[in-house]
Amino acid sequence: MKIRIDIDENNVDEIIIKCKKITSEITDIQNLLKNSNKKIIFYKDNVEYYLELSNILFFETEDNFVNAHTRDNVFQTKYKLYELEKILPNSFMRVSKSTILNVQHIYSINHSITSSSVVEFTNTYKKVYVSRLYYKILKEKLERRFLYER
Amino acid sequence: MKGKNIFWGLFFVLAGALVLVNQLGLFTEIGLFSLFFTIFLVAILIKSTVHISFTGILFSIAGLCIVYAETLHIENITPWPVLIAALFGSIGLHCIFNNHHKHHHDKEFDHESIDSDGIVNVDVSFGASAKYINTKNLEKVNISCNFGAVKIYLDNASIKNDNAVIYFNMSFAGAELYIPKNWRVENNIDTSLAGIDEKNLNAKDIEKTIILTGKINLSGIEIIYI
Repeated sequence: MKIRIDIDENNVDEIIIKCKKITSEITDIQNLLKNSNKKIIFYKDNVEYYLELSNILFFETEDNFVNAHTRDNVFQTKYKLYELEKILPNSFMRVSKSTILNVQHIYSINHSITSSSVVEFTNTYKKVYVSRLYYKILKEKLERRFLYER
Repeated sequence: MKGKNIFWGLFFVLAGALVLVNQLGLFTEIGLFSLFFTIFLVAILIKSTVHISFTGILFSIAGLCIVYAETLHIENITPWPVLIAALFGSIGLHCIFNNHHKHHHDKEFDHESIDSDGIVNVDVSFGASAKYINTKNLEKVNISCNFGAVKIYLDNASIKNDNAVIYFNMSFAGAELYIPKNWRVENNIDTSLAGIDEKNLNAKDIEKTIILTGKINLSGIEIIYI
């Protein structure tokens, strides 16, 4: 895809995407531009934390609330998983009934044909399971990962 | 466990006596090794019956069939068919009688409410699951896993008293336990064709103890200290 930036004093700041038809890549770019400034409040022991979403490895449900895991800590958030799916930026993806993970921190995926695959994250012992259904979608997303790398 | 020691002690004493008896000329129709195996397998059979462990019962009967194949005229089904039959029978009986184990034999298994956050229940069958335990006053974890895999993370949990108990009821399953470095693990699990491994053990400044109990069959537990 070609990227062209038109600098002109008389220009109004606007992003126009020219394409033949809407593909998933185009919608990814669209969501990336829309949601890059989202912030969620995290809670732990009656303290509110304002963390960068890029620090979160994955979200997982536990009974009544959702846990957000960083490298060596866990926080709670008031949102439910389906709500998070809508508001989180594109680097987050649902991989099972109870987990949404951040593809930027994936270190390895241990693929299993018969059961769930195991995802390992960089610099931590934490792991999550990806169900067979979501594995293919995750692989495709990782191949388009260059869009989310910083 | 006193009972165990007495049982095996008697077995070895009996085995020793039989060696002498055999050398003295009595009991010579049955070969010495056959005799050893017979007594060994009968011992396992009795022990398994007491514990109602289907794996032990079926495999010891299969072993006895192999030893006495000639006398019983059952060469057709030894050794492999009878062993494979024991394996299938073992799997089948486990599937059928898993609930019986829980209620009857193990009074330790709590069916406690979800209200008490000191008690965590993990139930996985034919699948895989990762469970992160974050409770601040952990007392007990009940893990029931059959034909599946489970990863339990206790790094963010705190134990209320000096120790916490993890109760296992597993068949044909694999479990990984991630435990903080400054906790000690005590193993009281009843194992049957199963193994428990530890990784990264670096025992310094021990603060709390985790006690493992329950029964596991044809399964593996890996304890990783983090």
